[in-house]
Amino acid sequence: MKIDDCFYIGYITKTKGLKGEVQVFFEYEEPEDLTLKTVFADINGKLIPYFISSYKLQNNQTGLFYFDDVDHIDRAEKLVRKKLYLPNTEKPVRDENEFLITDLKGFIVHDKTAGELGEIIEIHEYPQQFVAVVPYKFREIMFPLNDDLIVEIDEEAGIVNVDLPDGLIDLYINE
Amino acid sequence: MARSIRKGPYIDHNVEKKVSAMNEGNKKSVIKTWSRRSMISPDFVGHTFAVHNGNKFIPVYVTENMVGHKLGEFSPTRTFRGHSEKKK
Repeated sequence: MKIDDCFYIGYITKTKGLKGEVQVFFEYEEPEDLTLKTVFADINGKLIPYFISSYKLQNNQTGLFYFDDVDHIDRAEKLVRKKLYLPNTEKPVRDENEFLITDLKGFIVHDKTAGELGEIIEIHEYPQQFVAVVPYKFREIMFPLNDDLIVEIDEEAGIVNVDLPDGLIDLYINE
Repeated sequence: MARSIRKGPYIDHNVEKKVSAMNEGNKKSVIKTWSRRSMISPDFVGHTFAVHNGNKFIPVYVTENMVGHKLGEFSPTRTFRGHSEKKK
């Protein structure tokens, strides 16, 4: 198995207990959608398969895993910091109509009063909200991506029309 | 330890004043604040606050779910950039 045929899901952060259990930090956004039977660990540039005997997903993008043949902390320690991959064939397929807020990255932002602001370069996930970052006049403007502030999303043209509250742009320009 | 019920929730006077002025005038502009300890009251819903996180202002659009929490909870002060390499 080559790395090109796989996609990255996360890495092993640490061992847990003495029986070979490891903690995995998922960088893949929705780990609950993954089919977790076998994972491939990148060990010295080679992908080695590890069969999952049991796992438990946790809330904070982590999960606790037991792999077959890894039944002691000494074996588990060798896997710490190793990157984990899954074959591209097991990549969850999204519905065509499904549109996530993170898909707005790269869209051009038009404000009702200020006009065109620029392209969304980043979307940060903050507690209870997503915040978009847009470069404007050599500064970075941040605004919450909320239904009340977003007027319209034109997926085909890649444009987001927003109605930002007064003073939000000035806040970052005059900083 | 929880705050005494007798005292009521803590809300910074300036923030409270600005919100009530905006509610009266039916205006919606950004309220810049450093008062991370202020509790979000139901009057705040629909307003956007720029809450300082020690480095910059994070815009926080207040929704009903946020009522009862503090403004600072929505403006994290630290950024998690992954675990560092284990030193040997």
